[in-house]
Amino acid sequence: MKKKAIRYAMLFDLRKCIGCHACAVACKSENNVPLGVWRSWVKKVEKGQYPNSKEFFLPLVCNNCEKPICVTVCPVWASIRRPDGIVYIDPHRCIGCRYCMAACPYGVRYINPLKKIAEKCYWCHHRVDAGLKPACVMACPTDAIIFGDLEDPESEVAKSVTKNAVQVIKPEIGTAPHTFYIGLDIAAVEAKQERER
Amino acid sequence: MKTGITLVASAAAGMGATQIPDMKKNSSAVSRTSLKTLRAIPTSCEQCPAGCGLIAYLNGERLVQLLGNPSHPNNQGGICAKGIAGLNLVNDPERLLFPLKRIGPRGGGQWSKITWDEAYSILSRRIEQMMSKGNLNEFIIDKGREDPLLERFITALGTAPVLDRLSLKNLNRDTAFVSMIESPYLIEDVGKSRTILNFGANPYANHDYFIGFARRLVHSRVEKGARLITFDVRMSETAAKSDAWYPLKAGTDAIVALSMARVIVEKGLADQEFMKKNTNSPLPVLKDHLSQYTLQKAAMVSGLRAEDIERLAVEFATQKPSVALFGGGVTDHIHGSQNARCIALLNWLIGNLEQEGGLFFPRFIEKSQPRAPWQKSSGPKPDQIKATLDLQKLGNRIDTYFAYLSNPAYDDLDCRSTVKLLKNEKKVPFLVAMDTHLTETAFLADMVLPAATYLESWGLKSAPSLEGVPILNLRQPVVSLLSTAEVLRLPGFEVGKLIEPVFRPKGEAKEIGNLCLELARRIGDRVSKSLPFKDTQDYIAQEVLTFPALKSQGGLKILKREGMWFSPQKDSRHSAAKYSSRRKNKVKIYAEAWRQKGLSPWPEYHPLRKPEEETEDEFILTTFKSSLSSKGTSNSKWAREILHENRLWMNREIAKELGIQNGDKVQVSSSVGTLIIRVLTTSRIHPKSLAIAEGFGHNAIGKIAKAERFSSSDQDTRLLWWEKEGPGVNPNEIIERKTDSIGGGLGSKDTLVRVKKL
Repeated sequence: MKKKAIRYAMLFDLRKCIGCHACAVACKSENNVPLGVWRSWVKKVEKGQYPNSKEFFLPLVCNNCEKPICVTVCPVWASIRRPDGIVYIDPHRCIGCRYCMAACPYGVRYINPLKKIAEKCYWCHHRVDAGLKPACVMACPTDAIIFGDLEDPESEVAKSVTKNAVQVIKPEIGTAPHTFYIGLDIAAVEAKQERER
Repeated sequence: MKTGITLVASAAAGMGATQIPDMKKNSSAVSRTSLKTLRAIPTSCEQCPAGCGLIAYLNGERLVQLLGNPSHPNNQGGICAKGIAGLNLVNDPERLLFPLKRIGPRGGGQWSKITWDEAYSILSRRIEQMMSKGNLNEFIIDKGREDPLLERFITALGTAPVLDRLSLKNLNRDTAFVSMIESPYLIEDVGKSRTILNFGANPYANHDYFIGFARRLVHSRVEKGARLITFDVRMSETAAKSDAWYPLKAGTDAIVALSMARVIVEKGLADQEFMKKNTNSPLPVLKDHLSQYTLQKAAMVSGLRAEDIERLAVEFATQKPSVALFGGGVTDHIHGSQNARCIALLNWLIGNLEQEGGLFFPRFIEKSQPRAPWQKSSGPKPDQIKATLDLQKLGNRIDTYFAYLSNPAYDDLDCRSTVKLLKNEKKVPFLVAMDTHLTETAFLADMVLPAATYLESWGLKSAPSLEGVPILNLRQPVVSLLSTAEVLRLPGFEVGKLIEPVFRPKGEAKEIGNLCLELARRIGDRVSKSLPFKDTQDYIAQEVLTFPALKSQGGLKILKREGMWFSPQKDSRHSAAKYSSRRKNKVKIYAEAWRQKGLSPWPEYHPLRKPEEETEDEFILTTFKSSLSSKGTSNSKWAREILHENRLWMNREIAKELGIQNGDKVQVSSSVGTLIIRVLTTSRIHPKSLAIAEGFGHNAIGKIAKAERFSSSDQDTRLLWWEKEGPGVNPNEIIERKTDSIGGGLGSKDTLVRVKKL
């Protein structure tokens, strides 16, 4: 039997997220992300009236979309979607024109203040290619982040996606994100990013 | 066209894997640029007392990543942001790396570098002088962290008074538990509970067993459908992820628990057999005592609804296994130890001792001379010194004040007064600070010594195990690896050193253990006899020999390879006879010892003050710790980037009444001082409470902690972007120094404040 192609996916189980920022800090450390920009971060959103208040924790990374707009618009073919679904920026090709940043509906791209090229989360492909999990998955203290091959029915991520109701951010844009969430709240997605204090 | 590009790019991205890689959480890592496998060294974390297992990844000689140890039974591979940010602590360009001596006036910030030899002789001369005069009680040791060699050194000296910051934190809880079950604490088996009542604890952000505990709590909630109910004045991370949050008036947790206890007893839901056999208070007597705590009274005092309290009490007693846990919100009050007893009572009523999903005695690894865990520590000392300022009250004359990883000028309640005392050269003639950074206290010191971080030193600790299997954690240095050339140049070079990696703390930093050993050597016989070790590594090697089971399995070798070691007993939770025999000792709900001291022997509720004394415009100030704040992260760029400024949490409705808007500057004043701070209006706090996060508003330590941009060897420090927002404020400046008269712990969450809009 022919082996199916690999399609990586990431799943955030928001029921398990405790808003501890371990993923964000692990990412900074793994990818040497400078201050002021983020590949992975946690958005904390407050909702409701006292005493029926609520707080949501929403960890965000690149969605590594099936139909990435950023790849379509890149004038120098620096943004590439690998066959396994990881959307990757070739640092040697990127000219830092910010077209992709303007095109990305999720605002996950940034210009590296030191290298002046576009960067974003690419699910730590250097780790994934070596058979390891991305740094944020490794760090997550409550195993709220699951990563794996969606095409492999035995993988944890495929099982979880089939078993639970999963959501993606802004499905209406038609980019088909491959970062899934369990228990995503639309209000948390739409809310403005507030700083934690 | 497109496929062609994709293929080229895939090769460029270093992917050529056709097979699906096996993706377990395992302990290996690759370099991001060279794709080489990194050297992995297991060790354990010391950012907080939880002692999680760590794996340190080294790229060549450089430490590049810290992640959880997947085979550690407590954290099981999980790690918190603080743990990862430990990297910032060792690599900090502003770290203190050389011994310094003050020139110019105290607190003037003028230093000159000295050698360690000079530092040793200054210290040993002072100690010898005190010894010869027989006034060693003027040598004050203020320790922010435990260290076995420092402990031995203090014991050998004899009379030196000690400020133990670590034990002070849980003093009220420890006193309460010792009065009931003779163990200073118990472990809540939340991973197997169905109903969890959480009174004022925040295990999702800050807890004694942080990651391991939060993991189990999340697991039982999400996978097993357990219910977690949180009572807290503030919506903590835990409250936000609970099934229900009940905001109550600050300091009233005890009366809620007591009225729940009353419901459980009156409805006949208590575990009658346990109460009869295992406690000293038969139900009818207890019922009499509890009769004063009616639902109506509890509802009136706490502001909760009577029907909610009743429903939760029934749920707690019927949906078993259940457990009631508590944290700083309950114990950090002037009646903290009584509060803790009231919550604990709920657990006894449903027979919650050595029960799955309930409470367990902590398990430790046995040494060759077996000592039971409750004898391990000498128990809580309610009369211990609580703050630097207390020394004055006790009439202690100070000759030399030695602060090790302790920062009283910042951490003490009412710290402005502490600074005043430490500045006074007559009252504190010689102040020595040993720390990783130039802290507020070190800034006032006469001599500053660079301390090695936990990633550069040796340690051996039996961590409180959450699974009941005792664990022994090894902490081994992972920074900085010496190159072969550097090893060859070492003074005491041996060929064996070329095979094993050799580490040296950065700069001239030293482990406290090595400092104690050298001082002991210089002071001479009396002290050096009890410290017969070459260095800290030698001490660990000898300490390992005292665990017979470990010795037979490979000793230090296996510890170094795995980073920790389990006891061979499989399930010590139920098999260990001593714990069942312990159960025969009755739980003292009625504390006879307390009655003899003239204290109330029953678990009771005491209000902070009488209701008629309360005024409309006063708030109760509470403090909290975020998941990113600890001493080790105060100058960490990654932690500070996420959280660099604290604000005054105020209920939105109240703010509207006072005409205060989000972000407005206000003046908060208590009886000891005032603070200027911006307001965060939120729906996540009780109207009568205000909250400020701890760990902000530093005026020393480093430029990152002070939110200042600067140039250094780390290019990130030039990118610091939160200069405008500032470093926040230190709430300790306005918190009154109150203590629980019974437990001895601090009542840091009882300060009344007024707010004025500026």
